[in-house]
Amino acid sequence: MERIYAWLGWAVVGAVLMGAGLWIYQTWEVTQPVPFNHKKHVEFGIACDACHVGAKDSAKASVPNISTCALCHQPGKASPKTPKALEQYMQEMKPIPWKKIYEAPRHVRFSHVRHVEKGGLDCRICHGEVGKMERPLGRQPVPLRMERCMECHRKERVTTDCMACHR
Amino acid sequence: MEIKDQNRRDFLKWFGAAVGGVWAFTSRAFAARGEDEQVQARGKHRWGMVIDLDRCTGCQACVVACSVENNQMLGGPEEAALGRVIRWLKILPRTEAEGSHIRQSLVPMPCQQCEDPPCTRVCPTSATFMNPEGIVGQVYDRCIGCRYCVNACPYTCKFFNWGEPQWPKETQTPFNPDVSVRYKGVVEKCLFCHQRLQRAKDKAREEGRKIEEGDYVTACQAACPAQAIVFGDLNDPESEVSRLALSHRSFKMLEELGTKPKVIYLREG
Amino acid sequence: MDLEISRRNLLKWAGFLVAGFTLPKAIKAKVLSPQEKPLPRLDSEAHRPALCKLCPALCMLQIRVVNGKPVGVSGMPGHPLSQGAHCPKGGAILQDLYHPDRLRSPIRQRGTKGSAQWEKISWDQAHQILLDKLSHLLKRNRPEALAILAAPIRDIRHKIQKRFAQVFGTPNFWEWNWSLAEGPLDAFRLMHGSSEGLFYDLQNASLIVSFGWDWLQSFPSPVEAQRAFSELRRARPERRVRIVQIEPRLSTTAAKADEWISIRPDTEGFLALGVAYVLMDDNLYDKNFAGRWTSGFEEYRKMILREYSPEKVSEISGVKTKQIVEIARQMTSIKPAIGITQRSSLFTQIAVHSLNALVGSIGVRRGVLSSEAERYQLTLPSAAIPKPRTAPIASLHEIPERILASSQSPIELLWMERVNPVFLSPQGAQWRKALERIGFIVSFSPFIDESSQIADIILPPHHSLEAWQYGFSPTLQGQGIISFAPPVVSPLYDTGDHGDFILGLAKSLGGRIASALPWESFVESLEKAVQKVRAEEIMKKGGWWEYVGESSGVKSTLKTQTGKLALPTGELKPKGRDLPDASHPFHLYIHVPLAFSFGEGAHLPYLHSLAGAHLGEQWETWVEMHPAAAEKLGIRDGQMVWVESPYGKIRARARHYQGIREDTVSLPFGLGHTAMGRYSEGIGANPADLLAGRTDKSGQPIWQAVRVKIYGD
Repeated sequence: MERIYAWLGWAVVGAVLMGAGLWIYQTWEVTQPVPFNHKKHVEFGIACDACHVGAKDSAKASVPNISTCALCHQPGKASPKTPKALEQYMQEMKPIPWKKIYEAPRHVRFSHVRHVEKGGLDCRICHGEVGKMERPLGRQPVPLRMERCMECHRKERVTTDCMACHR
Repeated sequence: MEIKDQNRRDFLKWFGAAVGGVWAFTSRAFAARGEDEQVQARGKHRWGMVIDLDRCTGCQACVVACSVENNQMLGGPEEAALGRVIRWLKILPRTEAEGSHIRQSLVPMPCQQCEDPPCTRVCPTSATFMNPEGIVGQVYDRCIGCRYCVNACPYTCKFFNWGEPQWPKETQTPFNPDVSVRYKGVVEKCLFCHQRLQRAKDKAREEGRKIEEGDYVTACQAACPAQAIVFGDLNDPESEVSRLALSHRSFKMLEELGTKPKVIYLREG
Repeated sequence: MDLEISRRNLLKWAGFLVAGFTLPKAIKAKVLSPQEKPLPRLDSEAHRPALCKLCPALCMLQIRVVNGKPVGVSGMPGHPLSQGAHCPKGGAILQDLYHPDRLRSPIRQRGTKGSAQWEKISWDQAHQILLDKLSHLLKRNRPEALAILAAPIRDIRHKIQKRFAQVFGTPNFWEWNWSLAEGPLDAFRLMHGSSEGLFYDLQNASLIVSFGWDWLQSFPSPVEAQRAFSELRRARPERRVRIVQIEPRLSTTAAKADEWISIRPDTEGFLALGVAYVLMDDNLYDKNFAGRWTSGFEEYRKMILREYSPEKVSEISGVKTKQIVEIARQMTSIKPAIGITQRSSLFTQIAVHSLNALVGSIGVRRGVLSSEAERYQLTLPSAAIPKPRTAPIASLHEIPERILASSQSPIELLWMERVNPVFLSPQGAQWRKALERIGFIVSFSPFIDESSQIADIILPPHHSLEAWQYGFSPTLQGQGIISFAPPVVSPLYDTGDHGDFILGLAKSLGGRIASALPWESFVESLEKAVQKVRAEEIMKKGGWWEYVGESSGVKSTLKTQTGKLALPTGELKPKGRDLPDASHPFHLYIHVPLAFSFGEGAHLPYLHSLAGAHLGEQWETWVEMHPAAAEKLGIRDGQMVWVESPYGKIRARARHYQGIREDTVSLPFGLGHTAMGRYSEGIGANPADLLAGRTDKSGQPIWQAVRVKIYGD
């Protein structure tokens, strides 16, 4: 009997640990150095690829840095309001150490231009409702998985040749 | 007996249901796969290569061009001693001597891109496969390094990475960004410069036209100073490869094995 | 719904309005109208022209540059030399650029010569050191104690160096040459009066009989040779070329030829004269040509008929009498035929070239032609150049002997530009000793090579992809090609341009020297040269143009005083030869794989894989032996053996090869460096160590006349 209790006890502890692990894994977010508000910028009417240069016309899309921010934000000026963290980076002329959330694995040949311009895909299909987020990205709103790629490729009847994406 | 019988019937019923369920499930998976193949069957091109041995001078510019294009290992005396220097395209020497009469042929050997490849059949993970346009591909991230395909290939055109390749920092700078750098434990092979096909397709699409002869050129063909290598679409009867493939000089390596190579050689003379 | 949308629209438009008032114009352009794509694409790809300077052929390449980094190589489409293709070496040019052991700054020897204790110095320091040395020589009125040994690259930098030597007042300016990759220039010079512009019309030939020249692998312009072969084979369906290769070894050319005739090393000249005997004995020769265009023919005829009967030649060369007659028949029935050979002994060169006179293949298509293209090379603006007070101390290959013979070296300051005689010459050991006796040596070299090891300072030049390049190359069609390429990348390290460096020295020396070399930089002098021919536009973008310089007719090939082709019979006297004996039973035949053409290339890893493809050999030195000969000695295939001559011994892997004579063994040249970076140092052995280090009458070192023995441990 006692042995069974012991087993049960361990099982409960294991389940709790696993659950906690899963919870952490699913909700883990990194903190970005600047509290960027996508929503505000989108509402202001700025297109995604105005800052994420290359998202439409290049294989890689970029994550903007202080030089792009400086097009509108000027430290000390009232409008538009510049967050403190950004102001500091701009004054020190240091690039913001963004933590990259979306990065295609090394063995994948991914091209934005193919998907966005030629395929006509909306950014939200892979990146989720980023435009409605008030905090910077801490995790992938839509996880990048080969499964998802394949699902869409099958649905849209585009190539499923492995070598079209794997290099 | 009756009870037993009943049990047996139950057992058969449940067993049948289970088998049926598994079958239904797997067949769905197969159906999905079949769909893939349907999509794949749309590939209109069949890429092939003709190597004219009468033009070939054995200079091996193709070997170097292939190595540069595909980030191939540098090699070294240790690897060479073990026969582990990887070159996707290499010269296969054949010396035939009869008394004092000697003939030597130097045959450039890329992957023969079989239409019925022995290597893809033995791959347990589908890491090597034939793509819709007839190119025998290799996905390194799927490869588990079992080396079945290396043994299956009658042309010895599949290569296993026995060690982590050595790349001094400086030599990494000129890596071709379109091609990954292989690591220890995976098999690699000639992919007909597949990355160039992707580029050619992108370019053609950008210009709003179909891919044409001369858009997709492999590195070895581009480098060859003797113009001995011709590459193109075997499905297009007008293409240079199709024309040359019909030459009376044409032959395929180890044709009797039934692998149906898409690399076609033209005899000397 | 509607309300909400219009409200959102209202907000948006209000935002735009505010933005319109507050944002400066430039920002508006960038943020509000992204469709204008103001920023460049992230993965920019470009194909930039480049000039390959890995060998003197100077083909034009196209470098694929992604995000500012060169990542790929292809030949320049349309360029007369490369025509979109490249040779194996050109393909490996990025490995040369990104070689991990390239020198990163000027260095100075701290200890004694050759002690390998280097310390970094700046370019200014290097300038000062050299300036002191040069002014010292001028002060002592010993300008001829300066010597310059330059690479054989037709470049403006080369001309700057030459002019510097001239105005400094030294006659000791040499251009390096490597006879294993050259045509029979000495025979051309002696027989035609000048070797300039003479070339074999290989691409149109009907019959090519090569007397010992593995021309597919060691032609001075590799890409052209491969293309010529290919076109000969298939471009003209109506007429198939016949290629006969006479060589001790089944080389790549022999394998690709229609017929391979195996011959004892260094007897090709005898065979040629045996063929000449048959031609004259059977009255098959071109009497018209012999009578009208040659001088000394009777003497020549008498000598041949007296000394070189096929029977005698057969005995010397090991070629059957029947085969000698057969070659003669072919050379008269397939017209015009050319007999080609490389820059081997003067005897062989003249013997082979005299055959061309006998079959009347001089000055005709598919034979030997001449081109005027050479004179279209760009030149520096003229300046007052004084006459040298003395003659050069010696010819190039006699320098070491000359220095070692005198108690004090006549050269006090030696300037070497990308040359490595210690490794490349059969007289390597003598070169080393001679260099050690020279007071001060400056070497312009991207690597610490065997010769630079003895230098006092090494100045690393820019790589050819890092600086402006100009080159002149004659082609197999008799054209002259002038090519330009701007830098592809900015210099990776603290390297310099040797053109600029010399101009800087000239400026500091002042006086006559400064006024003859008045430019601020090499590029300025190039611009001046280009202005003369009005091609600034081509230069700016990189590109080329060509001069058609071919002239036909026998007369144009002849620059002798008599206007006739000289037949220097005196050089054709039968000569004694050392024959294999019991102590050294094999002839040694040295061959040069294309990967190591001009003896260079072993520092590039990709080239190692090509060297011995016919035997699956790479990254080591192998010695080819006939299986029968090897079995007699009990040497297995793949066994390590010693190859020993009276002058030295090296270690190599014995490989059984049916494509070699039983009385001969063959070693590849190019491996066996003792310096020059991790990919070449200590790999393989240098067959030059086995040679006697003597020079032929032609002034070129002797490569193929040594006997060896082979034994296991």
